[in-house]
Amino acid sequence: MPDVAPLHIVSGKGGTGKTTVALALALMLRRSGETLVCEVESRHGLSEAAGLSRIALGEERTVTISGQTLRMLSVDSRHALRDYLEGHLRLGLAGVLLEKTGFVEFAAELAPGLRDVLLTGKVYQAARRGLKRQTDAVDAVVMDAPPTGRIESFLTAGEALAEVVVVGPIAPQAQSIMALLRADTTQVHLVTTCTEMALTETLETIDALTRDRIAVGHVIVNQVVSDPPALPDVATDPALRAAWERYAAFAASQRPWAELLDHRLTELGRPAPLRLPLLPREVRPDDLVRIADLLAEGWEA
Amino acid sequence: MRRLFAVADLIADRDVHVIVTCGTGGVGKTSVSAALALAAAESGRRVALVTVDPAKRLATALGLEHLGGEPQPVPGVSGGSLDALMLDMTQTFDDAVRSHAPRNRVDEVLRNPFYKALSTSFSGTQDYMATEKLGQLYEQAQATSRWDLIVVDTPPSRSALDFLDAPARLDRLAEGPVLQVLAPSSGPLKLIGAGLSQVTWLVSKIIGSKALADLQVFASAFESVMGGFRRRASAVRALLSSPAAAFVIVASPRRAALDEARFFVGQLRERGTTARGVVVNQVSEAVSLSPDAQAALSATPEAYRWWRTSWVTWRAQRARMLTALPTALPVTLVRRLGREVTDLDVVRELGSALVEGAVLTEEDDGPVGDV
Repeated sequence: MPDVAPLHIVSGKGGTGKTTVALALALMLRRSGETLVCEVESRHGLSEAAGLSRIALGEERTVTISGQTLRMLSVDSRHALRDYLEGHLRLGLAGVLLEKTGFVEFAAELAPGLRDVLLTGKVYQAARRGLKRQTDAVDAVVMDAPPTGRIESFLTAGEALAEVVVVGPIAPQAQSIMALLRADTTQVHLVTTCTEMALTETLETIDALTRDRIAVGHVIVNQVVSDPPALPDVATDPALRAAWERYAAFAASQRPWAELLDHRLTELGRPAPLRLPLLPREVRPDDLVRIADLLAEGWEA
Repeated sequence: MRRLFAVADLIADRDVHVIVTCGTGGVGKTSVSAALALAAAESGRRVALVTVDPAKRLATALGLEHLGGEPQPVPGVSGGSLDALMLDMTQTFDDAVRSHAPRNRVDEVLRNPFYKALSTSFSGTQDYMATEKLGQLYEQAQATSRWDLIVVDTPPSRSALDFLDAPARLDRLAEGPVLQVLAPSSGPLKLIGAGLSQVTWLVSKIIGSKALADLQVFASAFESVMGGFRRRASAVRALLSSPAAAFVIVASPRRAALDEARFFVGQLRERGTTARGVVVNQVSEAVSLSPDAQAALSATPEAYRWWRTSWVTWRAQRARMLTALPTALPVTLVRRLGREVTDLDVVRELGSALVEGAVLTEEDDGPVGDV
């Protein structure tokens, strides 16, 4: 059991399948030890993607996906704020009263970064359980993080907060969170598809995070379409032929973007991207296991 | 068979002056909005398109190299006219502050760190700014007749509802405890019980006293801006619930997108509005083959498997659509184009597919197998 569990942060443009990849990655890591997978946007995305009934916000649960057990947590800003008030300020009744008025929540919404720092703080606590020799310590933590459009501001929230909040108890906490995010046990993995928008965002995010001194791990290209097999001469149906042409065009439309990505990653001295196929159906629990296998093939620790 | 959503009738309806497209991210909402706007323009209407976050090459195709400012004419449009505008959240917010705040407080508001946070990251700001922009354009359209149709591509968000609720959320911010306590002149003080000093003490414990002072300055200055904001918000709310506005839902055949579409139809109904229809985008192409053709193809197992996968995928998609979409909601299907929407020709192709329409059938062709 490591003192501080490796933290794998999974981001990607909306619609690229980052939640699916986060779950599959957690299943892959589970093969080497206890793994916690958490989400930070209270959307029940993890439980839905795993075909499970919703787990309560803020409560860590053990779930079973295709025979494998995982810890799962849906971090919620409301709970995180309440825990923070109780743990750090020992507010007792006054805190409860103020929370009821919604005032604190509102201040949290307006103070740049405060909410994000509280959310990341929960994940930070989970990663450090080993350090405190807690019985529920885990070997790896996977975070289904906000999409690439917001990931930089999410991960650097601690610094944004520091610009507004110079004193007060939150400042040192924000600093330790930034330290964990920049530790060599933390990596951000980016999920993309072979489309202009997703790839552009991915490359921009790699630049931004590198500038922020946050390590980028793997780039995972999802929904890859292969060329269709050649049709035999007996297949004369014109509609079938036309559909085949369009499918081939669809596969071909991905190629220049795949090449661009390979090229850019080589230039940056980064490992080649991992590729996952476009699935012809909604992801099922057994698909997650298969995706975990595919990830394991190309994964470098 | 589900009722066909006749997009052609919608864009020909001269009583419709605003089309709002709603849907979750990743369904091609921006492309569909652009295609609707272009099809309407080329059918003779004078269209303004408000878009939020187009891909770079689509933005270039629409002549949108720069954020903000005035709607720019899209080159290469025949028939009517198409002007496009990319929403710049911060710019729109700053403009609104300049027009609503007393002149001596404008700089104070714009410089305040909490205003900066609000204008860039407050959840709902983007949605609110889209309604603000719609309000501005609609007034301009009424005054100048430059446009007779505004197409609004709503910001990508968790829920399509965020856009609709943005004005109400602004009301809650104005009436909420932050502004009430920190700028107590703005109305009834609801937090007497908790005590002002206790509240400010708590906030300073969390964010520090310097930040508290900034927050207080922000609250008192912003209070004066709120009135103007809320007047515009209620005008837009009235416009959106009038027959001049039409809501078009964009979805994909994925379960999450379809569930969101159904949820949104219900929410619109609760607000006394009806969705005109749903565009299910990115539908897989399927070709039905006769048993003989199947037998012939099966001699080449790889090709047969490819056909069967596409057929089963489509069947599964159709089953999902029939289950998830309300029976009364008109539907049109748009199959996956196979290329990215990056130039005006592809936008036009998508527009033709929309105008032509494709019906969602319910015919039974046996049980759906697995891939």
